[in-house]
Amino acid sequence: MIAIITQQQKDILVGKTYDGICYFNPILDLNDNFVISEIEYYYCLGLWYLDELQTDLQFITTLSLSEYLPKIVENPFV
Amino acid sequence: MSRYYRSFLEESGVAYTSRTTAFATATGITDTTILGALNTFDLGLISNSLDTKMKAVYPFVGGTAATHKYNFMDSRDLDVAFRLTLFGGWTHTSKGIVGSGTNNYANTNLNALTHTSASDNSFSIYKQNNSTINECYIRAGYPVQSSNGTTEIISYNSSTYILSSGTAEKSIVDVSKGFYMVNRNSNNLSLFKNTTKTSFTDAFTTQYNGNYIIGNGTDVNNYATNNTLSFIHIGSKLTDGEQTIFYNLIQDMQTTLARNI
Repeated sequence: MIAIITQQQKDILVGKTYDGICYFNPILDLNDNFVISEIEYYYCLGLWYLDELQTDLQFITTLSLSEYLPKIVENPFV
Repeated sequence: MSRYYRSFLEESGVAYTSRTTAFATATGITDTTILGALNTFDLGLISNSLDTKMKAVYPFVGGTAATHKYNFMDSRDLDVAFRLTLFGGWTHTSKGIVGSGTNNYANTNLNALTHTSASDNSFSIYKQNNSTINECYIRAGYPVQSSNGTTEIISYNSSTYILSSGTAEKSIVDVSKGFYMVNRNSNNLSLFKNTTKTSFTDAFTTQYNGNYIIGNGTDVNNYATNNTLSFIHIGSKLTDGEQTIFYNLIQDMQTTLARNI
């Protein structure tokens, strides 16, 4: 599962960590939507419940999860 | 070393190696089962002269991002010590580091061109699950758009491949859990599953000027692993005898940690 984000939200996340160690890594899905993993989403949701989520990351709590539609895997051997 | 850890290590009554002690200090791990497993592993490396052949060893112990990021061979909290920089969705358990299968990867900060030799290198992974998706476990040279020519261990279309520095892929039909290792000695390329060796002839070329990456394939993130990785190493070539010793040391460590395959 993933959460779809906007280009602007992607720019907010790049270069930031969600747990102090691991960096957000927004990627493009099959439909060229930027997405983050449910792990990143749930970690932030947990921080929000603890009132420890940074203000600029609060938008993550408004996102919803959906099925991940990955880009078509390219044959690595061509 | 802090007073607490010096006291802890002294009171434990075990003579840990300097590497185990440094790793304990860096990670804050006090669990004597984990430290004992690492120490036995390290003593085995030393007594078999394998320690000088290891550039990076990620034992993935302690169950947190803060403990999984460290290189056992040099546990300074620095990129130059080949500490992992983690990206995307990873979880951390007592069995190791677990990919989300979407956007996860880890940068080893170990440059393939600068720190390894095209004609003399080895690397390995120890994975807990059979492969069910196309996934890359370790890859030399990131970011590189074109895969061809990059050395990596990858599961693709129900086979495990080494995509090496030659022009053609080398593969075995085995996606099961366990230990996989690539070893290059000049034009001799080997893929080990546990200690079973499959040999290829493969002309080597220059290493890519990029870092080894764990848990994903390309910079479009289409080979993110959802596996649990319990061990990874990057180093110099090993002889077949050394490979068997190395595997046994890793397997003994996983057994002590109750996560052996």
